[in-house]
Amino acid sequence: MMRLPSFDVAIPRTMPELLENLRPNGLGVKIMAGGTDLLVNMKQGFHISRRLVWPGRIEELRHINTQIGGEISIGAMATLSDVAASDVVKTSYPSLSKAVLSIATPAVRNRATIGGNLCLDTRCYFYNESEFWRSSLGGCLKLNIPTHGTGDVCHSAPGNAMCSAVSSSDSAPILLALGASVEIQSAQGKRIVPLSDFYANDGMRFLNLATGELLKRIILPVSRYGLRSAHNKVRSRQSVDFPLANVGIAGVVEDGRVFTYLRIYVGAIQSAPIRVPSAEALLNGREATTVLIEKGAEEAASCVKPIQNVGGTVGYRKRMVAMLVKRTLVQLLTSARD
Amino acid sequence: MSKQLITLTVNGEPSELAVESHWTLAEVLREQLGLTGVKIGCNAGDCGACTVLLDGKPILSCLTLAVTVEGSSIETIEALARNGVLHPLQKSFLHHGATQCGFCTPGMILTSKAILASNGTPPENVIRDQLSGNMCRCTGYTKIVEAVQNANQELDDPPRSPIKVDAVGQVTGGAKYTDDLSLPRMLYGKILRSPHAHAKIVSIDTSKAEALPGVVAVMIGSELPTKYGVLPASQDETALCIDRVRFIGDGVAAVAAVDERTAQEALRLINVLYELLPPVLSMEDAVRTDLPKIHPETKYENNAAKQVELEFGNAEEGFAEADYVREDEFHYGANTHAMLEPHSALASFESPNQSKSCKEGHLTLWSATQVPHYVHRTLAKVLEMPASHIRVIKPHLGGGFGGKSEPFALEFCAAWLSIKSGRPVKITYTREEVFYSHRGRHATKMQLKTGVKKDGSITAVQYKAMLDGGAYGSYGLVTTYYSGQLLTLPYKVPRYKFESTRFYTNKPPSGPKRGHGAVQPRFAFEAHLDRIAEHLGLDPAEIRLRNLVEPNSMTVNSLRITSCGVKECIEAVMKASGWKEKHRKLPRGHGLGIAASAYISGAGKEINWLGLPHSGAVVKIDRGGGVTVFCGASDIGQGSSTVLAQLTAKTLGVDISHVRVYEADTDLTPVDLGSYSSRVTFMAGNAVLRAAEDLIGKIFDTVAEKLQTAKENLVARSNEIFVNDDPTKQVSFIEAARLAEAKFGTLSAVGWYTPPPLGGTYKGAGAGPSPSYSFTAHVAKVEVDEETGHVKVSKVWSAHDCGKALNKTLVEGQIQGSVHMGIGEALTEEMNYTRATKETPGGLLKATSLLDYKIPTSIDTPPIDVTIVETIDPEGPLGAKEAGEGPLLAVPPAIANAIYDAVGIRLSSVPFTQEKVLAALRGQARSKKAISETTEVSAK
Ligand SMILES: Cc1cc2nc3c(=O)[nH]c(=O)nc-3n(C[C@H](O)[C@H](O)[C@H](O)COP(=O)(O)OP(=O)(O)OC[C@H]3O[C@@H](n4cnc5c(N)ncnc54)[C@H](O)[C@@H]3O)c2cc1C
Ligand code: SF4
Ligand code: FES
Ligand code: FES
Repeated sequence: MMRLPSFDVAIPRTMPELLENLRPNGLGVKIMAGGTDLLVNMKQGFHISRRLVWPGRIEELRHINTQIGGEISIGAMATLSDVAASDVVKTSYPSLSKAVLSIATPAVRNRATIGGNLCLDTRCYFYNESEFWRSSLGGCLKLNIPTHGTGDVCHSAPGNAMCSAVSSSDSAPILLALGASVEIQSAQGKRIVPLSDFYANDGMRFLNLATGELLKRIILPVSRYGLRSAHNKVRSRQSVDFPLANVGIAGVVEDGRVFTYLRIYVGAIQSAPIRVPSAEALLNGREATTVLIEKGAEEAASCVKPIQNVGGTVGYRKRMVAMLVKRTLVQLLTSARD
Repeated sequence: MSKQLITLTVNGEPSELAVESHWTLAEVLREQLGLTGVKIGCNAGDCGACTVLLDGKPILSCLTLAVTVEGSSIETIEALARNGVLHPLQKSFLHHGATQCGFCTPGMILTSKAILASNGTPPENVIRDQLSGNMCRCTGYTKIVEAVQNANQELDDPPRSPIKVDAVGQVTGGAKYTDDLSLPRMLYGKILRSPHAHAKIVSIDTSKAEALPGVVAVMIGSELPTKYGVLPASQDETALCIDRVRFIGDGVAAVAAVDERTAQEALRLINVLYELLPPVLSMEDAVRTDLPKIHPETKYENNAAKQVELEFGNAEEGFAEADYVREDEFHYGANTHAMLEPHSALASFESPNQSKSCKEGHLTLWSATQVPHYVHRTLAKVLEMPASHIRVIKPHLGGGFGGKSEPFALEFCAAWLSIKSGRPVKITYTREEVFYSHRGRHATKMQLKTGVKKDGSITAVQYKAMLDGGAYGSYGLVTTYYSGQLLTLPYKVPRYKFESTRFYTNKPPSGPKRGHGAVQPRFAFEAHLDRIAEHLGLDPAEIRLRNLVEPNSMTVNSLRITSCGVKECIEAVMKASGWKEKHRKLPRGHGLGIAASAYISGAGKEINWLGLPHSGAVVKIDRGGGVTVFCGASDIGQGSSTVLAQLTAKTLGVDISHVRVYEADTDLTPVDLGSYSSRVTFMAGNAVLRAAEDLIGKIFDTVAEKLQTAKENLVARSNEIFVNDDPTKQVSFIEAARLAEAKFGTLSAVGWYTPPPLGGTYKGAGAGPSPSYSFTAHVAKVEVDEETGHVKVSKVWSAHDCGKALNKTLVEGQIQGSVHMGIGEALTEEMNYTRATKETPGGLLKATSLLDYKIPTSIDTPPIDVTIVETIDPEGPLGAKEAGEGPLLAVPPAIANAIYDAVGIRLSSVPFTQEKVLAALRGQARSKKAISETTEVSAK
């Protein structure tokens, strides 16, 4: 890996100072949270920005607490280790804690943040490589190589007009399933949007986040009575590795055998976590027999469209989606906790 | 961009540092503060070698900007020992033998410190989970986990075997690896690499790079046109490409600049014009005659590099005699060493009169190499410089496994750039460049045909292999032979025929990796034998036991077997694993598999066939009683210096603490060929032993005279020389050495080892013979997840015959490390390349990081149970033979056979990725369904 290119780092101490720093100023400002994704990419020679802004000194961005109304609020700069270990999270949403613990490695989680995980750059094996490696092929839709320029082709799927780099966050699907929203702030003001509106299924512009805007915090609703949730992922090694597919599912189990209010999100397949309403509809309100669960799982898999741009073939990843949905549903049915 | 002042506490001391915003904490700690215990294995967050504690928590210093830790407290490995007293974890790592090359050790210990601080002493699974971001390529994690588990225990008992002589430096961060060295006025070098798999170089314009401020020297291939190659018969490489590039990553030009960033920038300014040639990316391509030859000078009309055909006895007769003849095909994917320390070389050229002529100056090269001697002679050749003006030193080395056992581009480039600039030049490869350097396992296609009698006894074997050699020769000629020659062990093969062909392709060159040449055919044969056993209704362990070679025998291809404990190995793992009770009896999804193997203890013939000793040593005794060993053998983490110190200490009867080993320095140490083919303990051990025996002979002569006794009655032990049946009659070692020096003059002796004449007389008989062979058996236990195809190896029982275990802890460590590596090869590690498409020519390596190239973590590696079988080899030093490579061979087939036991699928292609396993399981389900449907139909 190469050394980092040179840039400035601004370290604001207050929110207003931070927002001031984020104002577009022609330097290509980038937010650096834990840096565990951004710095790797920069060492590989992309995201060349002259200025990084590091909000790590702003205490309020690291909070994890229960709000007066009962919602849980997590500051974007809370580290993954803190989120996973937080009593608030473990008590209300242990599935989130588990999902977070499946990310990367302990030392990465000590620096990486939940906000960074939600804003994680999309991945593709023609993209997450060194500048040298990529210069061999030339740029692609997502990627401009300084010495070679932007390509107008997708190397993974040469016919595609859109980039399909993969949303690989392990916390996004479960947070989506739990109905989280995010507070977004800029010098102009703030807005709270459902997390589902935050993502766009486009490998290049996968976040609905304007220049100058910051993901400030994540808000989890009060847990609905009887809600159960779980995250599962498939990867090659049992640590370190990004997901080949993951799912986050939340729902209520009535009488121990009927799903209602299901929300099923499939991650690590397309450029955003994908909700699969037709699978939910198939499952909701019916007795969750093995046959029904399998049908639902197959339906979920048929809704997602991987292309071959991360480890694993298209067929394998689709199969893994079905497997994960099935496994997770069974887990929800049999989990003791309501 | 200007520097910023930051204050922080580093290892308890408040520090104020001026740093640039874009400097990582790792750079600042290593380069500004000299805390080189912070290691860089990947610089990308994938390996954990750079772990430091930030306010007590482990973080990766390669992914942390220094400006963001202002006001914090940082702890590096250097802080742990206080006032000369080691931290309990450091002591425990020493005591349990938890270091080999030591490159992962600082990060491991720091992570462990945090684990213990927050959890007391947690259970094994928690330790493995918490250590799972710290990769270790050497130990197989077993001893590390033991060390952490027992760190808080009082260490009353002395360690079972002597502690590695270099281990204290490894656990304290004091050990200096090549990239940890720096010299005044040192420049940083970088190599520009080819983005094309196959192309002609039309022109190279370096003028813009030369003009960049901070760039001091630039070089291109034509400046060093002499061809080289580690084997005399394949001189097909140059330091940098001259007129043709042969794989994506082949070196084209190099620069030296005042810092690495400038060097990096300069590469962008070099303009190379290429004329593309059609690439040869597979063996199917390589057999074609209509594609360009990668090395036009070969004698073949396609891209074959070497073809070997040998027959011993009449195989056809054997098949005719057999009750059952079986044929199978196998494939073994390419994989690589992935040692944790990247290649690195530091060259310093000094000339008495500032002359840039090589002939006049002296060059010193520190290099992370397993073979200082080969690097020495090749540098002399390529630089056209007298070898007497070159000194090659191997500093501490962070793992090799065969990946550093020949000269590499960076050694020539650092040297030449130093000559050109008159300043020291250091080049350290990025992790990506390490992958391009490769020289790892050849992808191999294999066909096997075996005849057996009803009782399982083998009547004949026929083997055919095609090896994907990549772009250059490397040791490939030997690989081509080994692939066939070593297949006649450890089972009796009365008639044998093989054909082995290595091809050139436009990919990084394949070469020797742990178990060189023998790993792929061993997988094939052991998997094949399992199928044969099943057909005959025999227990797979039983068919192996029935066919074993015996001690003091000769194979059909003239391999001479002396000591041989393979039977004991198989019996040991059967017993330890409960084979009889469990095999074919575990619930579906769980299974046991067995496999056995043999490997060489060094090659009988030196690669240059000069008839010179393979290893030499000088041992000298100081008047203060200190003993110094000088030996060219390279300690690459396996502990060879420790073994040499032990042999010397034992022979002279002194405590090992009085012995100091100087290794791997071509000015100081007699030649040893290097650390490859598992030759060091056997050959360097014998050389050192011989020198030490010479010295103790002189000492005994003198003492016998003084004590009025016969020489034969004397014993050297506990720093004394005494009379065997009257220990009160004694002289201290120091006194005895002084007397001997008075009598004989300065006390120093040389020793050397040359193997006896071995092998047959046929052409090709030189590859395969070894003065001795080690033997191994493994039982692997797996759990297969039938929904994902994931295979979890949950336990491995290993038994290995290493002759005499000179140091049990080291031997176990070698076995556990081999098993770890074997598991990676079997399940997750593979060098894959992009295919040619309409749009792109292909040939790009897909795994160029430790994220994409998947070496098993501490969670993916099971506890590894080791039985050491001792057979006392007649020619090994004190009876010892190889332990470093052989234990890898039988791991992939043991896993394949275990998967069959678990779920009934036969896998023929390594690695058994989740995806392949799942596909096979689905195939099985389909055919079962088909069978049940047909039976239903026929029932109707
Ligand atoms: C070896 C390794 C393994 C990994 N494995 C996994 C894995 O298994 N699963 C997984 O999900 N991830 C994995 N990661 C990726 C990464 O570590 C995590 O996703 C992490 O959570 C990213 O957080 P960060 O704070 O480090 O983000 P950064 O690197 O700081 O930022 C990531 C991106 O988000 C933007 N950003 C960050 N914070 C904000 C904000 N508050 N508002 C707006 N934009 C913001 C940044 O500008 C940047 O583009 C792995 C990384 C490594 C190095
Ligand atoms: S999906 Fe296509 S366009 Fe997107 S990063 Fe990969 S190769 Fe480039
Ligand atoms: S060097 Fe930092 S993780 Fe490998
Ligand atoms: S000892 Fe762990 S990498 Fe060598």
